[in-house]
Amino acid sequence: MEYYISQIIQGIANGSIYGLFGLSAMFIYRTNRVFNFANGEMATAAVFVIWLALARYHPILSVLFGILFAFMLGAGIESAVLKLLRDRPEGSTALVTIGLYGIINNTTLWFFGAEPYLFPSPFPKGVLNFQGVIFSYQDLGVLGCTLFLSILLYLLFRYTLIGIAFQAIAEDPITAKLKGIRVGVLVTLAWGLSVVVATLAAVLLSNALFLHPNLMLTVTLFGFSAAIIGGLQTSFGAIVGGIIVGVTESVAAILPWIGSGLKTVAVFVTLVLFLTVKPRGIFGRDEARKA
Amino acid sequence: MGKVNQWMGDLIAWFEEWYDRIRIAFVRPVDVLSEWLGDCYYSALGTLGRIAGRSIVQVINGLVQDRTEKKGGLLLLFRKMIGILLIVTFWLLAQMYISAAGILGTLFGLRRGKEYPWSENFLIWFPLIVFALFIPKVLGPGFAIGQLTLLLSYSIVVLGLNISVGIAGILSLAQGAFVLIGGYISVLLYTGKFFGISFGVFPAAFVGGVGAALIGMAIGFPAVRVKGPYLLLMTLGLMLIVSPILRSSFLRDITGGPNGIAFDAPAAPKSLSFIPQPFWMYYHALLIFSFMFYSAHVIIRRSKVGRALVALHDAEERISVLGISVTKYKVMTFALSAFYGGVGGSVMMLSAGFIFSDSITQHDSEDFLVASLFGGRGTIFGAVVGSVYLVERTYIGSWLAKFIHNGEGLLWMLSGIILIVVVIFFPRGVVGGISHWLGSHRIALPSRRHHRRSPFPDYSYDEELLAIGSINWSKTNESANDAIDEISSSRQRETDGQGAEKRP
Repeated sequence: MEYYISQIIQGIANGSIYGLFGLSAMFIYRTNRVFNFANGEMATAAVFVIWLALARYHPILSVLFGILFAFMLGAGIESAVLKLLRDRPEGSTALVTIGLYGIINNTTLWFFGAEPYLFPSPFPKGVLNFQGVIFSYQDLGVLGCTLFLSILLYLLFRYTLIGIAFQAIAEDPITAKLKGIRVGVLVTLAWGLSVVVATLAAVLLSNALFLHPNLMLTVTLFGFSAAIIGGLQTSFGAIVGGIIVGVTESVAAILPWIGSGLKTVAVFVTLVLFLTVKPRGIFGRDEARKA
Repeated sequence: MGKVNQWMGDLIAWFEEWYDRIRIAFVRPVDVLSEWLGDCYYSALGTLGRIAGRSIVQVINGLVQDRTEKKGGLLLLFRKMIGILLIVTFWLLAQMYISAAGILGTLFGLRRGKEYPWSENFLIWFPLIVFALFIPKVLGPGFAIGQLTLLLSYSIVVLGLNISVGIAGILSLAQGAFVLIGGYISVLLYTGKFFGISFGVFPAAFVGGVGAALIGMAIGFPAVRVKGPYLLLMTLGLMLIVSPILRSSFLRDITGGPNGIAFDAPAAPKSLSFIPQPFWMYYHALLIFSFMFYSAHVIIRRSKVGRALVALHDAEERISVLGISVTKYKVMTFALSAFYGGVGGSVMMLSAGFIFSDSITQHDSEDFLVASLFGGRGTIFGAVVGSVYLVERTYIGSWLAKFIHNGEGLLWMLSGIILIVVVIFFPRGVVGGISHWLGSHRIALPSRRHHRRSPFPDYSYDEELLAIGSINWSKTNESANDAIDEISSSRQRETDGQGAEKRP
């Protein structure tokens, strides 16, 4: 029993990372109506930059470098490629981000090769044994970090002027433009910010999964599943969806008749069930009715 | 009772004796005859091939083999005549095959007008098929013919994707999953590893396609409820879970998991042993290819289903108001596309002689989508153009490696660039773009039949309708209205037909 509880706690910790990643994807989707499949790959590239910088600089400085790189990558790609695709349907932009996914993934593969690197963990090693239930410091640290980041993002969206402008764009871009909000600039900013959040999620993951170019492939699927299960509307929904996905994954991995080889299948089945039964997600509202 | 038993015994002995006589008198000569006829066919192939491709022969002089040079005289002439007769017979058989595809199209829905499936576009089909029949003679039984077989199988796969992407607007990254499923089913049937009986190439490919189509149908029911990027995510998920399932402990004994199954690729039977193995597989692939392409043409262009799909893409709400089931047609498209993927995968894996759980990765699946968009979504001939890229990508990689360090690893980047450029700048693709360009430089005719006068009359269905995504759909509502009118009037005819005897 204690083993199961420990696994579920680990699932919650992993799931909060998926939720963070899903939150970044959802952020772009809300502001720009783009399903960004390349989000994870940009994050991986930024983590590689951090890994290179770690050899020479202080960890905090290197993470700052990585954040800067991620912001520039996201904003640059948005203004270079996605600006050409204004007023195109969602399918076309999603196809373009799939192309970007291939390009960025291949570039990191070309620079760094396919072999996995060990990425140092920011948290101390060891476990906390609480009456047989095992909490590893890694998981606790990850939970704390994602909680902190989510609260930070919530405060950003709720109480700052720029966050309210983002919300306005998400609700109605044309009216936002008429009110004097510079939609184009803010969308570019949103891309940069979203890639930064995805990079932080990738940093939290890359100790457990090792650093390699395909680091975020399944995480992309899991993160989008989290966002869709949560309803693609609120950041709280994305985190809850991520926790559902993470718990499904880790419970499926220890069930003897599923096993760790098929945990992706379990997540996929959960996603399909949600899309079939409740396509709007847990916390999703009906946008058509609202308008 | 004893007498009856004796009579029965006599009867059986009599049968056995006559069976032996017939076997000796009939089967042996048939064996010999078939060998001789095959030789005739072969020599005529050589002659016609030389006549048809003299200029090609000069270019690739070293590759040409002359089996007929050593023989001469009247016998050779006779053999050549017989061979030409055989080729004509083969051609007629292929046409019958094609008209069988036409019948399949009729099963899918009503055919428009009184068009006769044989004669239409004879000028396009005939040289293509003759060229396809003679090209092995020119190329010789080497590496190149294997690449052609690969091209044909890729074309079938991409054609399936073209149907779902171009005509019903269903973006799918899961075509690779259907290729893998179809390939595995057909390999298991062909090797007889799972069912005990070894299937031939055609039945194995067909059953592989049907198996993939069933999986496609199962995934199609939840998939039709979502659209665009959601569907892309879902199909990406399907692609990502297929290899873990094939590698899992439930299926590892059957599929061989990461070690895969290695087997002897299909070769000609003993009486036809003069045909080299690559040619044998090439001709199989060619027949399957022609069948699939013609049936796709019939289904898309002439059947009610094709028109319903176009209307579905263009005006979903309106056709659902007309009482046409959107779910039914979307699931049907999904299954059809999966069927094409499965058949193409069967041909691919059977000719390769090896299959394992990562034969097709998600990168390949993405490349199928790239090929479909590159060739021209919704066009039939565009599938072949797109698959040329799929076949050539390894060569492009080794060419890149000459200039760039580790250049062969840059292929996915190349396909990503192609994808972005095509989606942003050339949403119609190669074939669609060419026929649109030629069509727009023509004097516009008042009738809407002028679409048919494009240089690819058979292949570009309605280019205005087919380039989804980046094109303003409000301009094309006219054609959609036509399609809807036709559907509703054909439904009207059906309902009228039930009370036909009352009419004068």
